[in-house]
Amino acid sequence: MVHRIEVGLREEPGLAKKIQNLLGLPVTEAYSMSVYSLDFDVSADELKQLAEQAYCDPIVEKAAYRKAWVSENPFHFDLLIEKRFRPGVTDAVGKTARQVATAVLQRALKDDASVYSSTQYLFRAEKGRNLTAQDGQNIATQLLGNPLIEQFIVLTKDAFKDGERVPATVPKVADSHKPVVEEVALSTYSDEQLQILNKYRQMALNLEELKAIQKHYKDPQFMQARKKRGMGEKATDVELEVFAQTWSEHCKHKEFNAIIEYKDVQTGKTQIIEGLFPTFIAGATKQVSPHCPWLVSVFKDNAGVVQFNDEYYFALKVETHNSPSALDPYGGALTGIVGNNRDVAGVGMGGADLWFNQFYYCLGDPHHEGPLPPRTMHPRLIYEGVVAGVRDGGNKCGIPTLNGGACFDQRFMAKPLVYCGTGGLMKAKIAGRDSAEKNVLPGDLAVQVGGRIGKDGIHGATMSSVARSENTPVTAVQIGDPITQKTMFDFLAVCRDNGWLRGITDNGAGGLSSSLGEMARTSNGVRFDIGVAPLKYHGLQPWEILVSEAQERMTLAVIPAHIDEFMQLAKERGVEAVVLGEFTDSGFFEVFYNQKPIAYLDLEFLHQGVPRKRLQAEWRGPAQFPQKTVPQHPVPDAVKAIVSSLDVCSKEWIFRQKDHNVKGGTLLPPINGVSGQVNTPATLIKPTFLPGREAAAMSQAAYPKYSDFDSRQAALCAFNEAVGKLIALGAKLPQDDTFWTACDNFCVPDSVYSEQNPDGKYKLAQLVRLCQGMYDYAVALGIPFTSGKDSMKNDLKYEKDGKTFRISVPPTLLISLVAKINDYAQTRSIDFKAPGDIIYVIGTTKNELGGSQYAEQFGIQTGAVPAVDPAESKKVFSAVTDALPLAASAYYVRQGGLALAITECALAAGIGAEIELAKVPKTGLARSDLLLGSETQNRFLVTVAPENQAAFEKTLHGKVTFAQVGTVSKHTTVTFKTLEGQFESITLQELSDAYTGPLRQDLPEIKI
Amino acid sequence: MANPPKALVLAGEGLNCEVEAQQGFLRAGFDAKVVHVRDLLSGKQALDADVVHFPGGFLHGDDIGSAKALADLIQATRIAGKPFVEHLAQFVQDGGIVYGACNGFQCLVKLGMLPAFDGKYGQQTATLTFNQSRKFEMRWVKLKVLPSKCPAFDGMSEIELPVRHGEGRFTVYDRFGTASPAKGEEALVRLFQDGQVLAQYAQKTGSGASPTQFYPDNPNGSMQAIAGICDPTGRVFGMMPHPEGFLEFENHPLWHRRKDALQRAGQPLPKEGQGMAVFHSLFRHVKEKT
Repeated sequence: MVHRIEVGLREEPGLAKKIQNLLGLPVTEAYSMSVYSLDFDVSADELKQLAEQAYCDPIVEKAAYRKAWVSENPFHFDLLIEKRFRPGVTDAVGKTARQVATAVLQRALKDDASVYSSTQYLFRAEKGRNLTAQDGQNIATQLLGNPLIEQFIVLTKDAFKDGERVPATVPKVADSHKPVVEEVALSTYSDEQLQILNKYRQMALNLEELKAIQKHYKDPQFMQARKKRGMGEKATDVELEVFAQTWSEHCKHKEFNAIIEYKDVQTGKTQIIEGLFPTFIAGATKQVSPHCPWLVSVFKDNAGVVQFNDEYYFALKVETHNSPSALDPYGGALTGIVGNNRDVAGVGMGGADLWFNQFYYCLGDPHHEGPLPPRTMHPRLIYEGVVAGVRDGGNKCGIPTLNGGACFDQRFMAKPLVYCGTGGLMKAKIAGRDSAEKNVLPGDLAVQVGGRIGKDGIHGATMSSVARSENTPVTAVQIGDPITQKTMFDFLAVCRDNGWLRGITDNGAGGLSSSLGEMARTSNGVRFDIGVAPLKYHGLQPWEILVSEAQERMTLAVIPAHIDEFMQLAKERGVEAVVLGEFTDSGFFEVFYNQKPIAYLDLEFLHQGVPRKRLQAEWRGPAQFPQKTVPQHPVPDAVKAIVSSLDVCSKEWIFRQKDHNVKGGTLLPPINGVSGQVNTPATLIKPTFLPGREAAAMSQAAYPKYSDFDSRQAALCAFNEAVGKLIALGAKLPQDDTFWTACDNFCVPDSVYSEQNPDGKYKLAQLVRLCQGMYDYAVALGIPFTSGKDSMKNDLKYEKDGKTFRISVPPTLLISLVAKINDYAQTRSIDFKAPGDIIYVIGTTKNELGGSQYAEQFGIQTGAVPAVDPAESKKVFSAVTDALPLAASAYYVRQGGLALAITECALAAGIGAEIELAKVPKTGLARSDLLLGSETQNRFLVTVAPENQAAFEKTLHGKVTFAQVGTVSKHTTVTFKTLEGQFESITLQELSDAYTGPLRQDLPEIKI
Repeated sequence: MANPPKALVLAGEGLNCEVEAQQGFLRAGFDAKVVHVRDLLSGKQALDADVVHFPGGFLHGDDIGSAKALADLIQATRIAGKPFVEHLAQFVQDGGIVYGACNGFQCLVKLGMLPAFDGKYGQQTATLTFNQSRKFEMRWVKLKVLPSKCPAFDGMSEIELPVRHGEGRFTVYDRFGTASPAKGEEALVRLFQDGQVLAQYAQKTGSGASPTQFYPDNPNGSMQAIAGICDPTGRVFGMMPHPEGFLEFENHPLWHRRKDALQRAGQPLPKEGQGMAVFHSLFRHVKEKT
């Protein structure tokens, strides 16, 4: 019997307002309560104890357990909605409630005794208005939850009066499948049969790859070896799944390793590129590595590792989680950030301690009104969901979110991009061994630790369209459980520091199949039994256990001599750990299910056997847009237009709900200034536990809109901006004792030419040029890439009126940088410091308004995007570094141009400035608004105290173009003397309204 | 110094400020050790210290209400046949200090260790519930320090600290709760009369520190702007703000501005963050006692 405990109420004024704003329904008040459904027997006393003491805060809540809360406590409502998870979705609250029940009742509960959590909402309508069951469905599915992972029970006031109640049932997984291993006579299959198999099993391999596998199953030596192990000649479904996972685009990056024929139509020349990754990414690092003595481990592990100081390593990783975030923004972003955390915690011998998180969102306009692309959620909901997901992932694990940004474009409505990044620190030597190396030895135990295995993430998105029954577990979308993960990491840190581990990796894409397959490479073999793996529920097939992407799990190589201590500590810490098997040097990947062999694969073939792809790219030159000029605007209007564009405006609301101070190391938060609303271009953190003034500075940048002109410039500008922001803060270009580490993250549309993708060759050329730009810059500045990731098919395809349409994201490269700061006391912030200080602009402003915020605000694509000459960058940056000790504030002028620069420096300080635009060094610009809106790179806005003027100018003299353009004022106004000879003023209040308005907390009413 | 005072800093189960809290204690001169909550509740770790610190975090994900699950688990724990809460009360009676910050404060309040009127430890009479904004927020606040029985803010009248929480509204009654408003009002009066209020959220602008109910200077809408309280002995105390989040002068977001202004005025720079004052105060208190 199921017992319901309802605990409440909480007022939800924000929710009521959201329903009015977005759905236009007359809801005036909203309330919520927590519901716990106990799926086990309890006595009346026990039920009362749980309800009134354990689950209820008596100061602010009442508990009901005999009848519904609303029956026990007369409470008028017009509509009731209860939201609960679908079967199989992670229910963290239910898990905690069960743990509490066990302790409070002082008795062991049966294995299948569960507590299920749900939330009940009560709504009141405007007087005289009604709320229907249909209204309830709309509220539920659009604002309260996501039908992919949640179920809703809607009761109107009248239904409740008629005696209808929320049923006392639970979303239990009921699956009575018997575990079976299917066999496939692969060697006898025709090409056509291979294709059918591929489709049926959702393997996502091409014919060439399938044939390579087939050929392997005809190899007499391999057959002989199988026979010895008790395996037949046929391939098992388990083995086919292992191939599909290991050879997937996600794991093998086949397109980034493909041979590309790159044709430049303008010059007629064709170039053969031996893989984008080896040529441009690993290639750049190889080029610069002789000058980077601090490189420790690049590209071969879950994160890139560099030397922070003599004692510590620093690890950096950035991932994307785009498709999951499109299906369920909250869950997708949450699993994105906690999944990326596992990469950093899964680096080297025992993982790094998580130090900070970062994010970057590319989204549709949250103010969008009008039709949406098919099968997409409204951008407002995606925006709010992904912000909340990254927030909870960081906050709940106690990791400060230190850096982030967002940009907006219509195309991201079809496919949002969600980048999640993490930095970590680890001791360089642990138990006398190099902590960055995984030296797994034969005989080391293969151990899984953390959450249980369910059908989560199996074959991801494709399954979501398959018809579901009431009790089918949800597979497509996952919800993370940050606390289970945090508890596991606390435990693993002890194991690592005790020297019990020899290797660690996370269970992400491909689950155990990938994690054990990867780790087995260092010892050259693994043998394990998935029959002992802990499951969430019955009914999983052996292949499902192997490839499940259930969250919060790590795979370890534990030194056998320490296994008893390891298991004892796991028990004490409440962390589930199980020995699955052992690493070997057999050269084979051997899987058993309850002692019966079910997979036997040659490791060498598994990892090296995938045939290389060949792709074609065709570059037709930078896009030519019709020449149109932005109509001239008075300076105040132009400035307001620029600083109120979504890409550059204040991101306070996004950051305010993210903890950026936990761990006590933050020295410059991501939002700052006297009002706490100004975006910080580059942020700063120190290791709390280390004395001294060593710190790490970080920045990131992306210019997806520049890719519409020329993706090469998009890459150069992104990289240059990220570097420029660090230089303004006080980082010095790479030296022997100061590491720089770069992470490259590509999100591109389908760039493989086919009949269905007719402009695939052009798109691939755009990708090639992104890589070329990035390579040239990295090599010139001497900055190595240490890790990165590519996400290749960011398109939405749909049929309408018998025609196929496709919306593709612009090729987007996010550059994330972290650089060492040897003395953080020497850094500079962006805010003007004192009235009377002299304002300088360094660098010449050019007529580069293509893709600029100013042009875009008026819907114009015109002119040239900023060009970057890396040699010039190097010169300017060195000069600024030399002069920085004499500066009071420093700001790298970027997207949003001088208009944004002046605005942010003034708002951060709470004081204004007087500026004479004629003095700004410029070429080809005669209009004040264009001068303020141009996004030319390699410019800085610096202020200097009058007593430092002479020394400052002397330091820069002859090295860069610079000019004194005004002074900091004591007033709260920015006054411009324009090129047209007028004086125009704008108050800080006006600037603040424009800058903080677009993404403020309460976004305006729209119809979704 | 023969034996420095000892501090136990709890960790695990979702707590996450143990590293910086330990730093605070260490820098003030304590011998500070990080201890897993489970080891304390299993009796593996004895209460053999001068201070036990419940730091901030997300205990059990705050899944059934902030810190509620740990409060429940502690309530259900017995060591050597005696409820753990009684051991803790004995520890306090023997002169020990129990200090909670943020999530740790929520835990002590829900456990009934605070405000513990008349020394009745284990009976909950107040709570920390959802912020009026209904959002987790991170911001810096100014606190007015009240003269209280608690040794945490020795000689200070105001302090700046970060807050980072979603459930920090100090409340003694509510329209949906079971506590009576009349009794609640009485409790509020008593807290102030008996010197059990440590600090209140204050207006950020203007000189001095005056308590405020206005958002965002009062970040959560706490009754009487209460940010921290202590028990009748002063030795059990807690607060929502994070002293361990302001150990360095450079933790403050505006340190560049402040440094620039101080340098231009020819004044020295602070050597540490204001949050260190709490750890120093505790150190002095323990040293004086022995």
